[in-house]
Amino acid sequence: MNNTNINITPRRQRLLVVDDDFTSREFLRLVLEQSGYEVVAEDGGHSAQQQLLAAGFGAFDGVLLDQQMPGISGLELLGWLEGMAPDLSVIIVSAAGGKHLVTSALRGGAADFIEKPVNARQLRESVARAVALTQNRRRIQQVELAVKELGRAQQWMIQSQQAGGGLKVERYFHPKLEAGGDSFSQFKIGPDHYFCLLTDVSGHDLQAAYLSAYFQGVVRGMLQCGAAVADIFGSFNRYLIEEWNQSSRMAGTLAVNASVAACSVAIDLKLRSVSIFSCGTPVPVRVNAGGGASRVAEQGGCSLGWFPHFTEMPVGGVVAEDERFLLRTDGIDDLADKLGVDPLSIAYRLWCQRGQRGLPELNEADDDILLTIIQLPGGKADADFFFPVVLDQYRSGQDGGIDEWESAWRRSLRLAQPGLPEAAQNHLLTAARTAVLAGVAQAEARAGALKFQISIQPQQRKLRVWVAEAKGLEFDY
Amino acid sequence: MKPPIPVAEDKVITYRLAGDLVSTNTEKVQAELARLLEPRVAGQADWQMMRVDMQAANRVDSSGLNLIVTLLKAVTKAGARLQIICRNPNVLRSFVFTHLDRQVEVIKVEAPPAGLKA
Repeated sequence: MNNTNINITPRRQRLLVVDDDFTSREFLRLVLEQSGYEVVAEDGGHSAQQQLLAAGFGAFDGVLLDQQMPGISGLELLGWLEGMAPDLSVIIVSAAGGKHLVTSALRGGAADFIEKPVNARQLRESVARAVALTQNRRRIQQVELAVKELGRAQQWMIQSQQAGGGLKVERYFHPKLEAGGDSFSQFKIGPDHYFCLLTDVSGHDLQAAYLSAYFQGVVRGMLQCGAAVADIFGSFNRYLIEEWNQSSRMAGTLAVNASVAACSVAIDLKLRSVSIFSCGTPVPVRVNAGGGASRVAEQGGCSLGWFPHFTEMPVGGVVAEDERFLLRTDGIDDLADKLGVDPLSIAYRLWCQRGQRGLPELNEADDDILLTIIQLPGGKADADFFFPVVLDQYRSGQDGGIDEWESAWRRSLRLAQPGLPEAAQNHLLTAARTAVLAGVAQAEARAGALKFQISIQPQQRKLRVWVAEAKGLEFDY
Repeated sequence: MKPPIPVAEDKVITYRLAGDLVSTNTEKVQAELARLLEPRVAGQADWQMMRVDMQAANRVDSSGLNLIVTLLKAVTKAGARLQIICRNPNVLRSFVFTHLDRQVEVIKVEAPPAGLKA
């Protein structure tokens, strides 16, 4: 291959000078051309507008406007430019430099004000600042556009893909910034075999988005070549520790390493078998046909990129017809900690609102929020699905105690179902409190913990409380 | 697991966290920890254990955990040990949940007994 050096000479910085006075206009042109600028001169506001519209606002790096011109004044043209091209810096030049005029010019968005007769040195300095300001604004605009574009691609990746096979996968994504480290994908890996992958890269910046997309691609590619999930995760763990986190970017005594939390769900529709593999994400929750919820494991694993021998949480098993799996990134848990509620109460609100914005509590989130709900074909309709909003275990003597637990249930219920009547809340919480006090004592006798759950079915307006393995108590609201 | 060998208090350097360890303050905490660590890395200090006192923390998020992991690696590389002191059960749960308690010495300081109040 031949390497050809192509010299691309950047265009000279171009200025538009607008002044009805010939002498003044030509003086400005002369000084600025001597300083290396390309100057286009117009003798009035209308012709200046035509010039800008014809050449495009991006063709200029700065505009100098005489204030007093017949037809359109400098300030009027400044107002028009502010609306059409707010990135383009404008300098107002005027013989009448009253305080009021200077203030009006600067308030109107002018980069500077120069009084006539113009001092050549002052002019050069002012124009240099104005051109630099235009270029800076345009760079920021370009970066913002690129970030928005990346964010749109990420939203598409998370929201638009459908694995097929009748698998129902709901996704609720609330990024902290335009683009970040949370992502999700689902795809077919063989006849009747489907795969879902939720990832959360530390940080919510563009680097996190890049690493997250790279991880998603690596997993998809290696899976399609027949690699096992554990091997893929192990390989990426090594890559993070030995390459990514060793790069020169990580210089410094305490440069924080990147890590990837991931949760995969492999589904065999023929066998109706689901295998979950999680490293660092909150433990997924499974909800059975009767509405009973449980975490799929006691503990999670650590994120990839932390330690050479990573700990994972593999869970396999056959599921019932209408079981659902709730996967989430830890942004929900961080927000729940901040609000003193159960993370599932936030998940419920996201599910109820079907991803519509309007959950004001989300604005308090410090991290991206991503929830996915996976349902196998033939499952129960939403109208019969009891969504868990509180899921916990209690032991006698545990930190907090019954009053604190009850307060947390109340906060969770209020967040989940804001319009819930006070009487219904009190009725439910009193019953729950009594049942938990009795249950904790029984659990203590067995040296175990008491399982506790509150679920809501919004369409039937029903609340259900489960204590341990007993049948749930049901309340209408 | 073998109990860790005790370190004389004059060989312990303590960093006391003023509150939570979350994404909004990890950068500041990171800079402060780096300042403490630098003399040890340069061989100008001979402390054998860095103690991070998180008793004032009620929350630690993934950014905070990431910082602790990075700190653990840096302290270990410098030939010293890391110890975390925490009080809030949520903070302890974060360490246990992510198995970090298997890699770092985490000491739970008991809160005043609450138990069942009713």
